[in-house]
Amino acid sequence: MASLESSTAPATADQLSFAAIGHLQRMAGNAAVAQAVARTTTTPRAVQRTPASDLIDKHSGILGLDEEALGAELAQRLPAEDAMVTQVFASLDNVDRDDVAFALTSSLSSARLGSLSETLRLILVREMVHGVVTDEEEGHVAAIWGSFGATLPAVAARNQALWKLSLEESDQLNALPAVRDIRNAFKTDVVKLASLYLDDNERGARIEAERLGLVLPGGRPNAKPPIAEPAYIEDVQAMARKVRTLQQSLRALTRIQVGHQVNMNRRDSISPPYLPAYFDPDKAPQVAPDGKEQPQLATWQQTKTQHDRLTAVVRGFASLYPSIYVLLQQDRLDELANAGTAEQARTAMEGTLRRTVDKIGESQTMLSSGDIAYFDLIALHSQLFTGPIAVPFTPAAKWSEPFNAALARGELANVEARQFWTKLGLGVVAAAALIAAPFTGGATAALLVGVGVGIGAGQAVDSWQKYLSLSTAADAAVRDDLALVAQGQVSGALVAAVMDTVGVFLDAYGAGVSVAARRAAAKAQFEALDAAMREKLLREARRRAGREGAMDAGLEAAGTALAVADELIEDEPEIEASGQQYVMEPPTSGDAPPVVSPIAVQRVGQVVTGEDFEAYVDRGLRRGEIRIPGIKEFDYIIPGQYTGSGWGIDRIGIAIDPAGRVHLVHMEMKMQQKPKLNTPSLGTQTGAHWTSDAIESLMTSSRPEARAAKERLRRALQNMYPGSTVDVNVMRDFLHRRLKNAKVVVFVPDIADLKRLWRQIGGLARHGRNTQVVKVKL
Amino acid sequence: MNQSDELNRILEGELGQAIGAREVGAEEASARRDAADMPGFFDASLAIQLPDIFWAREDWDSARREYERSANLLEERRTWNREHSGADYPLDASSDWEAAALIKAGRLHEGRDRVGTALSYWRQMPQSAPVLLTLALHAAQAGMPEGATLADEAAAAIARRPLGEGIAGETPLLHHAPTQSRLLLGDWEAFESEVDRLNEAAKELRAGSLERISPFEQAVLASARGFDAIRGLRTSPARGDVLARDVFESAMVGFYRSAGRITSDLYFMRLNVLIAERLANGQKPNPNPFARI
Repeated sequence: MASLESSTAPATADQLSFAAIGHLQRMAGNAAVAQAVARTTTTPRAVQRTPASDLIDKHSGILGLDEEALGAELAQRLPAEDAMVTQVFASLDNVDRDDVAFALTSSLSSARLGSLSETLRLILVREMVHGVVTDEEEGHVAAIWGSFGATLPAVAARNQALWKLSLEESDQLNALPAVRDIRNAFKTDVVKLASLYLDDNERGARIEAERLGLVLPGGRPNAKPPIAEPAYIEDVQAMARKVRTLQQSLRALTRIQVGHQVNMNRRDSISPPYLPAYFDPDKAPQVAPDGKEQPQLATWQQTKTQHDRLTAVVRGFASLYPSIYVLLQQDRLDELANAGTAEQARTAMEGTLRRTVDKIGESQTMLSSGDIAYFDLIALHSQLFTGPIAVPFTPAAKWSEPFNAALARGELANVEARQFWTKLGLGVVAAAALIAAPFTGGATAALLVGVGVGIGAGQAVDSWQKYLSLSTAADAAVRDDLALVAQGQVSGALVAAVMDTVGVFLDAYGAGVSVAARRAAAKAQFEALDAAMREKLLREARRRAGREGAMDAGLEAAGTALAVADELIEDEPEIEASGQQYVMEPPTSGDAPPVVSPIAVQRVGQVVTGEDFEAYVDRGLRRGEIRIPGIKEFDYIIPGQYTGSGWGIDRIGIAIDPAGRVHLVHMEMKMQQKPKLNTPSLGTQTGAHWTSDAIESLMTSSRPEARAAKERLRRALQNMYPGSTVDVNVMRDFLHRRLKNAKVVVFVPDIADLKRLWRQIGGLARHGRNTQVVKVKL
Repeated sequence: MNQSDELNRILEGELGQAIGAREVGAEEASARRDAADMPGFFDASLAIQLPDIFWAREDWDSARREYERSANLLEERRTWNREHSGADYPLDASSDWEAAALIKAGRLHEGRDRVGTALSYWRQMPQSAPVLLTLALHAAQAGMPEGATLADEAAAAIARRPLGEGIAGETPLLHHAPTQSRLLLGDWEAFESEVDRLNEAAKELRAGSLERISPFEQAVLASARGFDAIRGLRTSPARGDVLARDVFESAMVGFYRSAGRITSDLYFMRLNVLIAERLANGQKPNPNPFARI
């Protein structure tokens, strides 16, 4: 092959291909390239022969180019002369390229295709997918893409437009294993995720039913009737009334004039040029108040502030009480709020929860039968592509990656979503609440307070798009200073203050007040209250932000919006608050561990002492709000303490997986600023010898705590191994065999400094102890 | 409050708890038997710690009676389970309790047999050094020489705790069990050697520890002083028993504080007091005061 140096005539600029320039750079350096290019500006054009043009000439005759012959010869020269073949395509006329590409590809086996450069293979694809694409060309295109093998996703990601065009033009691409597997994985992932949400929500509904002392059909066989949590139904009912009041206030806000809109129907000079614009949380008025109106108007922003606070409170209540959430979704809040007795309230709740569980069951059946298909679940497509997914779920592929996303989206483009919710007798919002969001943490303010009313009408895609836009907008609307409210992490006093402030605001600007003096007084009062409220919320947010800044890196990553609210709840224990958990893997170095996942946790009352913390975590575990990676849910959680002073194992978790395998988890709760595992006589707490001794202590102790724990363990084992004798021997054997090498999980409050604990866990890990730390926000 | 007062307070509290539990257990046991739930009956009847509390309180008659009762109950339980529970039932899971109860009740021959059963069972159980340690001391108490080796192994296994402190082989082992086993076996030469080793470990602990010494370490330090006193009593019996009582009772308090319950350590510390007193009286030490002659 001739080089530039051996050419008899100087090269011209348009004759300098990239390959030639590259070759010249490697052989003679940049100076030679510069000289070659410079020569092109001073020397007359001359005919330059190249191997590429020679080859084209060779197969050209009176009747034009013999594409088949050229393609066949090019194929013979591959892979050795890859660059020359590339140059041939650069030199060919447009009309010839696709035929030569087809002929060349036809002459190559799959194995030889794989030996070509990426550049050449993509040239071949490009030539064949443009214009009319025959079935054979489709096959060649698929074969070329397929020749990239495992690197296909990366190559496709680098050449997205060509890949997309190829998918459109070549049906045979769908037969490639990489494509087929990814498309199937997407379908499976969507359905699996829907099923997980349904499972999660069924569990939430059943837990809520248990708290209310209700038995729902289809529960665990032979389970004892649940005992209602004292006063829980009254709490829920009281909360329902509060939420109803909040909804009324929200509706009242939409009747407040916040400006003016152009009168589009004005046809004469008598009609007013402007009409009143009433508050719409999604849209500011066309014309803002000028301050001269009488009575004075509230601004849209003022009203929006009150609206956001109220919706945040509703959201907080809904995240604390799944009952409130399902009542809102089913629009049955009034039934509970109006119930005269606790029994009537319980009946109302039973109906709601039964309906929820029924609908979940129906949805699962429809998922299995295909009546709800993957393409119907647009909200879940969105979650898979861009997140967030609110239940523990490991997708089969990363759907955010362009290759996977393009395949999934391509698949969806061929099908049309259906309004499956009509078959369930639900609106789109209620259906989404069941199948695309968890009961806790997934509710968005807009959906909860009725802004989405009317969404059920229209086509499926439109409905989903409206749902998604509302959902996204509502999430984005939760500002940092309201995040605490929205997560229920506030005191009753603060909630009351929010509601009072709105009440005064309505007095000042609402439609129902006409006495000017009263409105003026209310306005003054509102301004004072509002300023105080804003200051308090911001102060809390700032204080928390400052404190968070001093905490470890993992928690910093969570941001101030997820901050704790200890100070806010300490004076008002009767109001529930929620928190977050962070699961951390064992340390591999001295660095702080990464945050893995935050999950909402509900709580009742203050968490001050170690016992409070144990109870808080215990409740979170039982309600499925705290989860441990690898454990879907615990079948039994048994205190392992043998005295009332906390000696012994805090909790023994027993989980039985679908295959019937029994998994034990040893759990310790450390309500300490700088938690550490104790190091008494038998090694480090949670170490194997310590655990062995703790088992012995539990088995030999006759204290009431130990007796109760043993009885619970006995019942658990009796359920697990029906028909077997279960006594101390069996329990002892079980624990000694299974617990000493079980996974250890240490729960600590989010404010904990983990340095010391981390060193200890590192030591335990060296001795084979599988230990995780879970930080729980209070 | 001195150590003796503290010990009395602990033991009174434990006794009250245990007697209350015994009463509750007796009612429950009766109901279980009426319901033909024999495994439940045995479980409810068991009061593993009660005789040890009597023993620690030096209520010898009650201790003897309760050890005998425990041993009989455990034997009856084993017989019933052998006949009625299935093949998968872990019959030997309480063999260590049975061995300990038999030996403490003075039934040494049966106890030695059961030690063998218990060793077979617990040696195949993972990470069971704490159980084996207690078993080792009872084996030594029953005159089984292997008790010494087993105590060494179990104590060393426990001392290999994963925080880098007290790693066996690098520093002297701060554990009383090896010394205790030699004392129980009456192997005085080995006992004295172990006392030296334990004193060496204690000296290192006192010299090197910048942090507060844990209750367990305090207990071991006290036991080391007690063993030292016993060594002295062998050659000059005069009044050494008073010191021995003080320090062993101090160790009892420490062991209780480190575990939050009555452990076998308290049993052996009290036995050490008896041994010291017999030496002070010019008598041969008897590690099995309830043994039938």
